[in-house]
Amino acid sequence: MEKAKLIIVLGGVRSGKSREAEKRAIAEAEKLGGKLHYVACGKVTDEEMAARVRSHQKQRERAGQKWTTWEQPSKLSLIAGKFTRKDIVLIDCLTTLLTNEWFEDGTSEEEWGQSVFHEKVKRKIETGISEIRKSAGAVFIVSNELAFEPLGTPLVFHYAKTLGELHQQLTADAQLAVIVEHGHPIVKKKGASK
Amino acid sequence: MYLITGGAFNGKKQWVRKEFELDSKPYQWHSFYASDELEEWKMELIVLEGIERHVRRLIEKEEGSEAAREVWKEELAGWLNWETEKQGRQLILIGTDITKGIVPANAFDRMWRDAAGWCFQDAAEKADQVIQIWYGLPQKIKMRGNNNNETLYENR
Repeated sequence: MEKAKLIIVLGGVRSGKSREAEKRAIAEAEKLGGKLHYVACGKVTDEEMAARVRSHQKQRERAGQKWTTWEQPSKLSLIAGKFTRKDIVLIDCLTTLLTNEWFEDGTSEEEWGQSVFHEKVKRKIETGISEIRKSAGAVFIVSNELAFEPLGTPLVFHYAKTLGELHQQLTADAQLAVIVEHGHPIVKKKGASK
Repeated sequence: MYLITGGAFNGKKQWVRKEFELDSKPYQWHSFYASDELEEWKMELIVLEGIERHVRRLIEKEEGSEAAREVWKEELAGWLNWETEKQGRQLILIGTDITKGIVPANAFDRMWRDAAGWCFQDAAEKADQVIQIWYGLPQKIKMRGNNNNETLYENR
């Protein structure tokens, strides 16, 4: 079965990556004559996070488009059946999704260092994205650039490794890969994919 | 000499394997993550992986980033000599860019980061090509020779 087009938008924190992804999603929705879906992976655990969510909500309202929001901090597979070929799905963002999947089953610190655990978490996320791509018309994924610094604790090291490997897989699969630098998109890949 | 750089876990190693067709060519691969001691180079194609780790060891040995950089420059000169001594020889350096993040809390890491920045500059200056890998996708930062690639370097 043909999979939906995949677009990946990366950037630093507050770089305008969500706005860029939303803009491109809206253009795609107009092209397909479809509906916009926003998959929010962030969990509101404190006031700081609540403020971040409000800022993103306001941004979407300002753009004047109707978005259907899905609060899905983990287990993307659960909503995969809700979309049709006309739907545009924007997943925001991969780093929070990975964090949530990482800590979800109360995994122990010993497990965090094991590659079997990283593989399990990665597979879960890749399967979720893949299943959404089987039903939807286009899928946009927003994620944060990795740290460019000496990686400190083992947890940070393994988390960065897993996220990096997910990014590599997604850029390989994507038809479009964009990095947003200070609000300016730079296209890293356009066209061919497997 | 090639310098291949990019953030951690961006697929630099895999890209080098594919790009230089290492599956079908003899080569010698040294990882500084495994050991700081270089073996004798017997092949025409040498890959040195983890040069930022080597820079870290140089700081430890030389007790400072400036002294480390001097040693690094001498090493680079020696490696370039090896390359030009015989036609067909090629050296590929792979290094993780650790210079763009938050200032490390630890003073040694700050020194390491500074030294890595300088040493990568030195390597880039001497390299024929500098390629930055972003999640498996290459971007040429520097290109020597007569080809038509439009890069920032050539537009300056």
